[in-house]
Amino acid sequence: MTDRDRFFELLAKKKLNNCTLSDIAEINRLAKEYDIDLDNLSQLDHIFNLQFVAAERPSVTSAENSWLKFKEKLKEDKQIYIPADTDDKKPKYRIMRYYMAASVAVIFVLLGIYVFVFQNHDADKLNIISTQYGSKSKVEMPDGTQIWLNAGSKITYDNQYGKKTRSISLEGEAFFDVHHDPKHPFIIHTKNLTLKVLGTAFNVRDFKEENNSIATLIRGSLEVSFPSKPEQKIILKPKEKLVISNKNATRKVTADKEHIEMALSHVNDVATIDHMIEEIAWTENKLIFRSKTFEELVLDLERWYNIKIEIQDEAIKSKKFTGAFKNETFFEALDALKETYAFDYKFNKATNTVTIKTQL
Amino acid sequence: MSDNHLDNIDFNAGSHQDEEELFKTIYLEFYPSLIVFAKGFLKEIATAEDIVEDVLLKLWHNRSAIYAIKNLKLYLFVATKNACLNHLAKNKRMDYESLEDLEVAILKVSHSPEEAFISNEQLHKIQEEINKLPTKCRAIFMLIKEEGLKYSEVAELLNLSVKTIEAQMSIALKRLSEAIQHDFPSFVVKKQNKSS
Repeated sequence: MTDRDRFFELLAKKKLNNCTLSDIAEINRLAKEYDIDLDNLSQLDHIFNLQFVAAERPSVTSAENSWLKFKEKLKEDKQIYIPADTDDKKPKYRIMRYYMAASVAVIFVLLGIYVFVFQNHDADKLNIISTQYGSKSKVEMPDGTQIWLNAGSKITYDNQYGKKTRSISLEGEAFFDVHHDPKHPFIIHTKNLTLKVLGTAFNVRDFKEENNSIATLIRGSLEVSFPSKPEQKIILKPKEKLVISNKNATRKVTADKEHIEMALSHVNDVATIDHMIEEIAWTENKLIFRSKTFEELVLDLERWYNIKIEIQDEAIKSKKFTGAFKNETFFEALDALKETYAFDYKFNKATNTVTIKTQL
Repeated sequence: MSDNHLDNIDFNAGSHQDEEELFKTIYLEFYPSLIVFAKGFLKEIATAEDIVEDVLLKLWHNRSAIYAIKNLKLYLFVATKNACLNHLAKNKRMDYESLEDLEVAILKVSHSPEEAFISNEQLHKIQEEINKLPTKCRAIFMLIKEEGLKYSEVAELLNLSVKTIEAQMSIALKRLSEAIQHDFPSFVVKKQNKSS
């Protein structure tokens, strides 16, 4: 066994609280000989602390389905139960089980038909698809439209979807590749925007904690209007991006004086990093940011990595950052940001919070 | 991990409906774990489901005595193991008490905060290493890491000594560390110098 193998074996033993005094002495000796900082092995701790799960472990839903079947069985149980030690009667018990299974299956089929028929009349039933912080999701709608949902976002649609129009609500950020169907306009409602399309690909971003709402068109055409001012309409052309400032939205304004602060710009090729358009890079698992203030970037990082971030350094909030992350862990990302503007941070594992401080 | 909050449950107070609600908690808590475990022996999901349901049905029949079971989780794992081995013995597919053929499901990293500290590449390597472990070692690793069983409980369940369990866990953790060894470059460099 090489020294290196021995070293890692000893660390494993130590992790299991299985070390003898001479083992610990040996770890210290090896660490000294090879100049390893024993305090700096937290990575290894993280790996030992990882949780694993069997790939084929039944989900909560399938456990619940199994329970429903089991519960049915309990109802009939008094009539069919024959103690297991009477082996000769077992076949009968088995046959009964098949009848049971068959009748349960029939019940489920009937239930399925009932739900199907019932739901068709139930126009108000809402379907909700949402993502937690730290995770993204891709959905294919019944009409073939594809939706990529970024972290911390939610789409909602009712059962009228696809009948006359294809209408959905969005909170957060999503990229849409809408199946072309002129007879059924695709309409997206966000807090600050209404978007109407026929068949196109575009990105919408409207997080309630952010100051701007942004629509970016990749191909096709897109009609944007505003819930607060429905008569105003803007048509976007491919590679155009519309940014709406919502800073006034919280202020009380009278309907006639209200105006919407907006900026129309081009997604030009200069703005692409790694041959990818910044606004939709997240669909490929890349977090790209161009001269974003640290305060804005932190909101992205919180959603992206599912970690709470507290800024205690006022000066850094307005500093602007440009960069791209793909496979970096959260701490690799933080360390990279530190290269641009020095700061210190502290991680509290219990509250899953990182505190950003002025570097001393 | 569920820390024995389901021990010392008493079914003797309450209506039939209360009993069913209480049993539902037990059922949902243990069903997925027992299915994964049973599938290791039987390889067929349908048979595994049958056997786990039978085990739980027997528990239902004896519910008035559940309060006397000291460690319900271990009890259910042992009952499932016995039911599986009985089934296999009847079908002449395996010698009773042989654990060498125990096939353990592929493990993947579940969503845990630790993920944020480890790159995707490393996660992938770790997952690969775990799934390359010998089956017995992986079975022990799964029962301890995923199911949260104690060393002594796994020893009892698999008819092995606690020492063996410790040794197997140490092998598993060593493999995990090996997966990321290159992240300690100073160690690698110096070692090469030394051996040359």
